[in-house]
Amino acid sequence: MTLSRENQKFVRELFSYYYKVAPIKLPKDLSSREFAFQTLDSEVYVRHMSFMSETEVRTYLILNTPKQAYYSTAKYLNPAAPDFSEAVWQGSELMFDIDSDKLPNCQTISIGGVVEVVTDSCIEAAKNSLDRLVYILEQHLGFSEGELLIYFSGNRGFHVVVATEDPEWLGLSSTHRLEIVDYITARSINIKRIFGAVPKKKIKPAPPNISDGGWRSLIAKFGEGSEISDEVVRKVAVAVDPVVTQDVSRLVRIPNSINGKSGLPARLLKVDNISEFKLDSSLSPYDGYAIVKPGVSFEGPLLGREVKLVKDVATKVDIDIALYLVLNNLASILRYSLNHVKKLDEYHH
Amino acid sequence: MKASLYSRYPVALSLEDLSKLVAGRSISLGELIEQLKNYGDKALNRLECAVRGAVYKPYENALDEVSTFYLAIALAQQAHGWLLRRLADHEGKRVNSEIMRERDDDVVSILKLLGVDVEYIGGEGGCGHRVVLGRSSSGEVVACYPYRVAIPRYIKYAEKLLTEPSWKLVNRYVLKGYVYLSKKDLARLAEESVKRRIMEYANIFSEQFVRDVLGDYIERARSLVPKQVIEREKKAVPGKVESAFPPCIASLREALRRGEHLSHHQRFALATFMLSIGYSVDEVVDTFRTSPDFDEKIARYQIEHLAGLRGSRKKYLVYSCEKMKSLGICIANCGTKTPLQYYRRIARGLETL
Repeated sequence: MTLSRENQKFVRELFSYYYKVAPIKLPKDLSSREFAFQTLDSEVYVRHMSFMSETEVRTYLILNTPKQAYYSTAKYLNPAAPDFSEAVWQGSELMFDIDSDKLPNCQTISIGGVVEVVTDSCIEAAKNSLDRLVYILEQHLGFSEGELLIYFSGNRGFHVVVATEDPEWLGLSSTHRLEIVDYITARSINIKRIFGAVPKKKIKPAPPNISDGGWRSLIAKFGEGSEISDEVVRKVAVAVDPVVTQDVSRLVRIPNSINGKSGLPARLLKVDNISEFKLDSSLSPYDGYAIVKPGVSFEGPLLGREVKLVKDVATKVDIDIALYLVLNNLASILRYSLNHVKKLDEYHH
Repeated sequence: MKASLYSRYPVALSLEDLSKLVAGRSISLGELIEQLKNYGDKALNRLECAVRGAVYKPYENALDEVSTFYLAIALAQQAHGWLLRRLADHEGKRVNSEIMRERDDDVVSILKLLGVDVEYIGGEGGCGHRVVLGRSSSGEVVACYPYRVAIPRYIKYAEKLLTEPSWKLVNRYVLKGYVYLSKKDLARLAEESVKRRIMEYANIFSEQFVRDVLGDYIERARSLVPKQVIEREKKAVPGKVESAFPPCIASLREALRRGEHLSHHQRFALATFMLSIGYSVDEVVDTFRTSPDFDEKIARYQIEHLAGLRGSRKKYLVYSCEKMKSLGICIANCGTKTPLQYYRRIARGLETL
């Protein structure tokens, strides 16, 4: 559903101010990437764009204030070519997606039966999964922290892009990437082979040790004591989305760009910051308030605050809450006052 | 050139290097085949060993050995697919056992010649990466991994083996970007590489002029294929015979050709049917190209899903005739339970005409 003219004006102004100072993170070789945007007014996707510099991308974001902004994990010889074969694929970075609302223990809250909002329980579950994923990427797959772009999606989950320059990794086909997914999700794991591979029955298998390789170390680090079972493996496995990882022409949200479903920037995180991450007002760059007319009644937590809305009753809310409601067509903007747009830390070198 | 090395591993000498060895310069494939023809009887003997599973005794002389090897591939390629697979298998196994006989630290350089890039980490004791598997009354029981290979390389080298649980990455000893391997593992990867290379070379030998030059030898090679294999082949259902499509499927195919819009169930029926009689995902995607709302990315995604390459990785079955009737897609009484049964019957009939 598209936004009303007034609501659009509000969103455009906020997005535009943000992009003037936003620490958007673009790949070093941005001229070999495809860029794509979802427009704010008609919500159509503009694909196959290419840019030569960060200034060009920033200018585009400030002037067009797209609802969503993406670039390709793939590198192409002709990134603007509309056809995959004409674009001439040069390899793709690895991409992982953890969606919190697909995890067990995630309780969502419905706003007016229209939008499902994830709660802290979801974010905590996703953070735990992210911890394990990062461990696998560093300790097992051998990537350095500097190669990992870890970021909040801006809405429900986390993304990790492995910005490696190793041609062997970049050149992996879609089928090959599934083998990595199977490793992370523990699909086809053979517990007996990994934990009980002793030549004779009389020999007592050694317990898994954190300094071991493969799944032995994962169970030692994240498992539950000495117990080894399908159940424990299932809990330690990371439920990354296989479709995302195996897609070699995937578009990823530009890190630190705004997620048009929430109005929050897709904040980059350092490995050490993951545990501190909270889905609250600190994520938003905006400081101010707004008077909105809600289209639904709702009482409950939203972006870390208790919010009370009564349908059609004008209510004063923090400006980031107003932005969230407007982007989801849950309220109309009546008045607003934007005091300040904070310059966010890049959070990442 | 170490003659003994190419005697043991003829696959390690490229076709181009062989042509230089034969003629002292680069020559065309046609000229090379003419030269190799002199090894016809030796190549047939090599093929016979592969068919019988007998021990093949390589020639001491590298030129003889490599020439025989390549000619055997050319003959098998021209004669019969079964013979070629048999040869690839036999040569692969031979290399496997040769590797097991090599000194531990020599293996790496030999594997490199076979296109497999691994690292030797055996060091002084030869054990390499030492993993404690368990404890017995007499002490620790350890496993040794004297080799390692970068993960993306492992996935490529072991591509065909990844359906076996023991080769799945998830069941392997993986640490800091490497998969740790034993000598036995390496020998198996070498075997796979040999098979892959033989299949690649076979492609080069598929030209008509190869057939013209080697005529009689090809006939003699074909006579090595057991009768049962030929018989079984006759009984097999020929793939991709459009004239044998059952009426319901044929009409969907026609409707697409005319650029008509197909419903979800109609698309499902056509795509699953085509996939199950041997059409590739690309070919099925191409079939849908004339659809008025064709979007290659979406079509490919859905077809890959049906083929069991995505999502739950379940290969979807073709609708039964009963189901086709309930959906209103069935247009004739074929007297079969599924469109596939109809297809098999007609396609076999066409084959024997």
